Amino acid sequence: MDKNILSIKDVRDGIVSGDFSAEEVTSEFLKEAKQKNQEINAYISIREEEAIASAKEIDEKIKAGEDAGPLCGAPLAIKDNLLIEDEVCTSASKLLKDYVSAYDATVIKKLRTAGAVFLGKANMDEFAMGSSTENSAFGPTKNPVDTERVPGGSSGGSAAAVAGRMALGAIGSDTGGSIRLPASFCGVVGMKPTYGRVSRFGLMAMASSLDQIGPFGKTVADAEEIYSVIKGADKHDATSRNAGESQLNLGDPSSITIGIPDEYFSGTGLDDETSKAMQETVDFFRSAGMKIKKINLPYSKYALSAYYIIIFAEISTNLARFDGIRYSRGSNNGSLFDIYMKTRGAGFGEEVKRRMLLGTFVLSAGYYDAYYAKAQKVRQLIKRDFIEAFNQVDVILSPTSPTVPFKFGEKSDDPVQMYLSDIFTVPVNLAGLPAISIPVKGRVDKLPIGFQLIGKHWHDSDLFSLGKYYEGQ
Amino acid sequence: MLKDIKKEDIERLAQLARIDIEGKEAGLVKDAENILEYFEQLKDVNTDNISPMSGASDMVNQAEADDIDKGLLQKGIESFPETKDGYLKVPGVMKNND
Repeated sequence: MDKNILSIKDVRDGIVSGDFSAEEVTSEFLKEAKQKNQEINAYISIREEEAIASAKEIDEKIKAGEDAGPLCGAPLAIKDNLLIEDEVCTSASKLLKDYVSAYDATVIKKLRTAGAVFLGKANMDEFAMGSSTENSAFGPTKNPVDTERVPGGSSGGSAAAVAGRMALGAIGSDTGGSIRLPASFCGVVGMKPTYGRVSRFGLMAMASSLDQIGPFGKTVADAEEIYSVIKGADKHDATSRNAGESQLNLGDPSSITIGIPDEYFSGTGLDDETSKAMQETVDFFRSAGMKIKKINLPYSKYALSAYYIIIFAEISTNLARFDGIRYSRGSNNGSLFDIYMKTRGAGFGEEVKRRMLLGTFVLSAGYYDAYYAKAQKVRQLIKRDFIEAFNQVDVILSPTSPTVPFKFGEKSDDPVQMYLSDIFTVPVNLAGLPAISIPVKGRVDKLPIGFQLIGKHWHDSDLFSLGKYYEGQ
Repeated sequence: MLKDIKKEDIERLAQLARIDIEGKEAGLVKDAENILEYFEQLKDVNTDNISPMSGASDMVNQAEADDIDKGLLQKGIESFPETKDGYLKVPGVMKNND
């Protein structure tokens, strides 16, 4: 078994045909994960026994001639803000270091049924707040491509696990780029589905009007396989729904128009290397016969402000539940007010506190209209920009990040600089659109750069088909 | 539209948000200033007659049957930090817990 060439399909075919067992695959990946984790810190916890046990179950199913599911034996990393029943789920917060989940997230249930094996819980920025995975209470994750650099965030552990072959695929969550940015930084594929495509039941909420769960894979095809399993309506998430899938006609490339937003290429802090890589990517699609069209998204320069105001507000309300009474208990001494103050003061990290205070501020009487209501109106304008653009083009192409992966500490003392890493990804979440980050080809021995494809609402499949075309599959 | 954030404002917000920030006030004031300064750019956007967008979905109320999942209910009780006779135990609300 040469694990360097393994895809989800290879694993499934190999197990079903008896070339190797699910247990062998799981053991190999576990070995790699345990060994590399000391340096990379992609996992907060590794589920060795449980993973082997589920691999054995799959092998038994195969022996009995049963269908073991489309992801049978695929070893995955799960971001530690998704609940697995009876297991600790920390969201990378000191406050939840001992919290045990009461149930399986819907995504976990679906993956389990499909035969996936969960190797462990992946590291992340605390409560998914950050762009570098430096905000974890369990220490930062390192980028396997260059360990002096961050893996991106907030799903940095998930991306690093896939990049470092410590998992075959992974699950993350994306509120403003938290799947796509780490995918870009680590040189893997990461996809954020249309808002509502995947149930968020059992995902610890950060900003409910923006959060979405999505897959990581080494290839577009792997990400698509995971996506196909986790999507679909769920009665436990009222925002989820079933919607049809779209089909781009790749047999006739000239029928496809790709939009390039003018505003993304000036005044956004785009570095020369990324700019050049985007040019090459655009050239690839142009020489394939697709139409390339300049488009305008005039309100995009306001997206970051609107986004941060909205998430601050939603964070301050969503995280009110972590009160020191329900999910963890500190001291019972003093008044109820003291218990709240102390537990939250000691349990939350700096970025979480910063966002909750500012969220409380933008929602407070006298400032609500100037900040929160204003941001919601700007959000409407940003969505309109996209709707108008999609009248002219099928897909929009942009960089995923304005820069190559940065070094540890480079931006952690300056929140605004850190927020600017998300400049190309947040507009997508504000509008509720699907988007994928794919590694630019031909960057062996160079730092990874990802390009982003943004699709129309519910046109998630367009991104996979165009992505596979680019990868030459 | 925007205001200068002072130490007293941060302390007041910390009380409202129920977060002890003792010793961190100065840094938080500086961060808040920088972030709010960045938000100033929204002043330039004309949003007259634009309706606010409060969610990413255009769906309206999704009703579902009001079924109680007894298993989940039991799990919820079991996973609560403190219980007594199948009830959740919490610190006193009306007076100090002594």
